[in-house]
Amino acid sequence: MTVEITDAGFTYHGEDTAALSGINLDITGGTITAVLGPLGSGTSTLCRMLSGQLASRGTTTGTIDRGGRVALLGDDPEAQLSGMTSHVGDETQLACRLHGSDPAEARSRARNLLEQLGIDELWSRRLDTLSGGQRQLVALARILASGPDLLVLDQPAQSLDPQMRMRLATVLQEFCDRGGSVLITGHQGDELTRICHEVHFLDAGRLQTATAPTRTGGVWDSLADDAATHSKTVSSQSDALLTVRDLTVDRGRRRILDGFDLDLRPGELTTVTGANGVGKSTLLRALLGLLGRSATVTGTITVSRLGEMTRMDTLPTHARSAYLGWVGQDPGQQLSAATVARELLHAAPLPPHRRRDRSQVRDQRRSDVDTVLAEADLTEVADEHPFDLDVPRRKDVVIASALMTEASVLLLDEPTIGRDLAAMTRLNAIIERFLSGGGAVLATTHDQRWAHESAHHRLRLVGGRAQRR
Amino acid sequence: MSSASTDTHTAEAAPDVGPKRRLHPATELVILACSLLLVFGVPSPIVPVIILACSLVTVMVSPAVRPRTWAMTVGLLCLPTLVVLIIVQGLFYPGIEVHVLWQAGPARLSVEGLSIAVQIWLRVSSLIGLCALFGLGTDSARLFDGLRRLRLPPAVAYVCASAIGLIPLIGARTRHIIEARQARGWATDSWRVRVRLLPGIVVGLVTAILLTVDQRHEVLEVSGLDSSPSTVDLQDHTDGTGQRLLRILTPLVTFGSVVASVIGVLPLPGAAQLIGGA
Repeated sequence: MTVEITDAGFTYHGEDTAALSGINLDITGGTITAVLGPLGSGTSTLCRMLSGQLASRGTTTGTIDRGGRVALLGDDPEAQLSGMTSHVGDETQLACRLHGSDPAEARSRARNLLEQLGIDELWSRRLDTLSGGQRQLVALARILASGPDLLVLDQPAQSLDPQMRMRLATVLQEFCDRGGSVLITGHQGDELTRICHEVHFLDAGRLQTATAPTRTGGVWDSLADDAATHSKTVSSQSDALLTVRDLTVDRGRRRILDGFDLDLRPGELTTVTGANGVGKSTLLRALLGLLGRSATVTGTITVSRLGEMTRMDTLPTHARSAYLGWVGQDPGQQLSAATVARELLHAAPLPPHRRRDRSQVRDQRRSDVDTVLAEADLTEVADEHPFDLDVPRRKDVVIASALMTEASVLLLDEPTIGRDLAAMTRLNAIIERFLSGGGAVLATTHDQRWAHESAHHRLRLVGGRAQRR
Repeated sequence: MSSASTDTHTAEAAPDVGPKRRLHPATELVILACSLLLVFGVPSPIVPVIILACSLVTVMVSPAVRPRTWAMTVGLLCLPTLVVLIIVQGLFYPGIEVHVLWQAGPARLSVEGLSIAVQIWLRVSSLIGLCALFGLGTDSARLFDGLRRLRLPPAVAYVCASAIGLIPLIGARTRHIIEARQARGWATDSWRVRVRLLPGIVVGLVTAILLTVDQRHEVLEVSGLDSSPSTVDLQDHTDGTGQRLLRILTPLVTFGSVVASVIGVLPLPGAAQLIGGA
């Protein structure tokens, strides 16, 4: 027995309601267990309680018997690296060395892990050049290399492409074959939860006694069921809002995009899938002109508004933002105000106006903020700090800030990360409303089901080129 | 997943800055400390000039520091200092018996004022150049190893190492915040717009940094920080008798040079002598 949790509960300081209560869970050696639940159900709290991270943050009740060393990978994709190192090789060895392993052994284990995960070519890469998925894999390799007895993984697959999830599943199964055990928590069913020996469901801090099908309990199943799902039909062949021709991006000696073509029409959602690190975020950043001196970008980007065509590839980023609303992969990097409402209030510059009209313009802006808050279902959290929200809500705030501009095209980078069923429904509603207003959306994603069900066009990025699905 | 989350780096793969090509971080720290002691202990502009020149040569040959980044950092901090010093000390030196080189109204350029301005500026510039060379060419783990080799308590070493990790963090966060503003229509190329956005940028920056520091500490705790009493280096470094000897001899030579300078045995010219007036 690796871990035995008996009647455990946890209440955060200053809270009246317990975040977890009456938890009974046995995790035996050699098994993979999943605990799934909607956002706010307590899955992350369970992980942190199990790894002993909550001692100073509240009151724990019940007993938790740990039969070995526990290693945790947190759920926030922006907070998984240590910040101590600059290169992948050093980061992967870090936990081993902190535990006192011999340097040669630490190096060997780290290399072996990266090889197993199929990312050994990243050994010399700088950490700040990694994609979100690669970052997550490096963090996983770091904690796996230190040889824990129990791995606690909070949403470990959220930034990974399906092939990488399968590879990670194999690595975890091998870890279990050597006697280790794994606890996976999250809000989505995916390739990893399918290989679990046991799947439990958490609801409002209480573990459900009977296991339930993956698509219940507020959990989103990201695996496409081909028999049940269908793509959206294309309703019209109106003129494209955004036309991209022969877009090529070179970074150093590496070609990221190679003659990429794209047409985005009003009312249509186009998804871009592809392997980790293939260049999906780079595509969105290239469209917005955010690559700067780090890359050479060629090709034409044209937008259409009221029948007027505008070449954007020569415009600076702030001018392109009048047409394109970008929502990056890490929402925390786009948020800086103290409340959600203030974030939206100051998201974009006020339109040109005379001084005497200023109060009127500001009133109009406040009214627009209220409208967007309602549209994005953020009214209830308008006065909260954006960093106090969960990751999907933070992403919603960034989407809402894009809606504050007059952009007719939304560029969404991984909008489905970490979402449960309710958050997916919320995202779909926001996109549907934007599309019905004549806008177009380009979204990168690893969520095959969402792409299959929601997109009018699906592209797969392979070798820098788009393949239609 | 995406390609680069931070797209400002042209070189994705790190140059091979293997341990064989670099001093042990403890040796680098000793050289840094001794150089700074020399700069401020020997009252001659020749010392900071030599150290600034050595820093420049090191930057040019080192694969660990990008010359452009180093030059931008040093230039951004040193040029305003130079302007202020020339105005305050060079043009408005308060001394009475001075050798005036040029005068216009209340402003007079004197040898004495200029020599003080040059001396201060060279000292500050060499300090900044050296610290930038060290700060840009090292990461927290490397500094941590160096400080522990110099027998600092792990807790102190960790705090110092975390602090140096803030340099790239602040740079990256500032870049992200400015990018986010550009993406919403703010023309951040304009200094007027930047100044207008400054309060929001600073508040966002401070919040993000506090959060990140907390998150990083948590990541390190679950990765085993404080779990082992052994002192295994976090990175591979070369060390040997030569470097150990260097770490002992460098402070001795530095101390000797400062003492020699104080008692007048080290005949290095002062700034006023070099300028030629006094």
